[in-house]
Amino acid sequence: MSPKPLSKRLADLRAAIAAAQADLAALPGRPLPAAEAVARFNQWADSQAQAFDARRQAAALCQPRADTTFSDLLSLTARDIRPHLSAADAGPLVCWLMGDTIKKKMAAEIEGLDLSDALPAASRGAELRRLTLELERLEIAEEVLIRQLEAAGEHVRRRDEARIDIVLAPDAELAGDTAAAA
Amino acid sequence: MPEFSIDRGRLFAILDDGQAAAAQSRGLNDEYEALREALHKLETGDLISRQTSRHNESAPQTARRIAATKAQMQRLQDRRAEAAEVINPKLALARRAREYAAARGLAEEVRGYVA
Repeated sequence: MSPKPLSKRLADLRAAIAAAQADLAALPGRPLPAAEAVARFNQWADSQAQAFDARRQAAALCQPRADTTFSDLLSLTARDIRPHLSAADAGPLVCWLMGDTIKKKMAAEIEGLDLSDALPAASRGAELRRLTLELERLEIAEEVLIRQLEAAGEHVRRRDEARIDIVLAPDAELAGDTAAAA
Repeated sequence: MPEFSIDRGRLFAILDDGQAAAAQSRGLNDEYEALREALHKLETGDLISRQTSRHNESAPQTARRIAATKAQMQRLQDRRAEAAEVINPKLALARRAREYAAARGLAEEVRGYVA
């Protein structure tokens, strides 16, 4: 099979560069996997239930001189804790009352989402590095190819966002990097 | 990520290319301005002659010259638009190269290029 002409290889490389750039741009918006999102929600629901502090309230109710009323116990506003908040905060009470039900329902919602491009939080740094290196490898290969085309007498327009440090790099350094990447 | 050094031969080739592109752009602009000025003179002359008795003699000739100048301007405008596709990327690349080189300690060497 004959090798691809240089101009075709350049077009392929540029398509790969555009794809790598798109992957890189999409990385911060990629969702978490379902299990991780569920665990995150469960943790939040548990912290809410804990914030309700039922034990303290129950103990207060057992005091002979009751200064906690039932309406305080079931208050949604928590005005005593956060007086600046006018919105009702049902989280602590609801999570204390029926945390397991809420967790199950939210897990079902999360599992119903399309998370085919999900990426665990712990893998994001490594993925960012992988994509950055891949993009650099492609950009170096592109510049090497452009120089080959120029040497063959063809004029090639560089991409507007071509990395200037690569464009100005000596042949030997690019060749070394390409060899190292191969 | 590796840090590349600057190939000075490549740097100055790009800067020279940018300079040449800038000169070409200036040349086309000057040519266009000259035509615009000529057209203005012709149109002003035509306006004045309309108010004199010589208008009938000179009118057809002036109208032809105005039409020819306008056509020349249009052709030049097309050439400018065509050239801009080649010139602008070269200029942009040269400017980026100059800024990068200046930031890497070559400010003196690249001063004055594609300013």
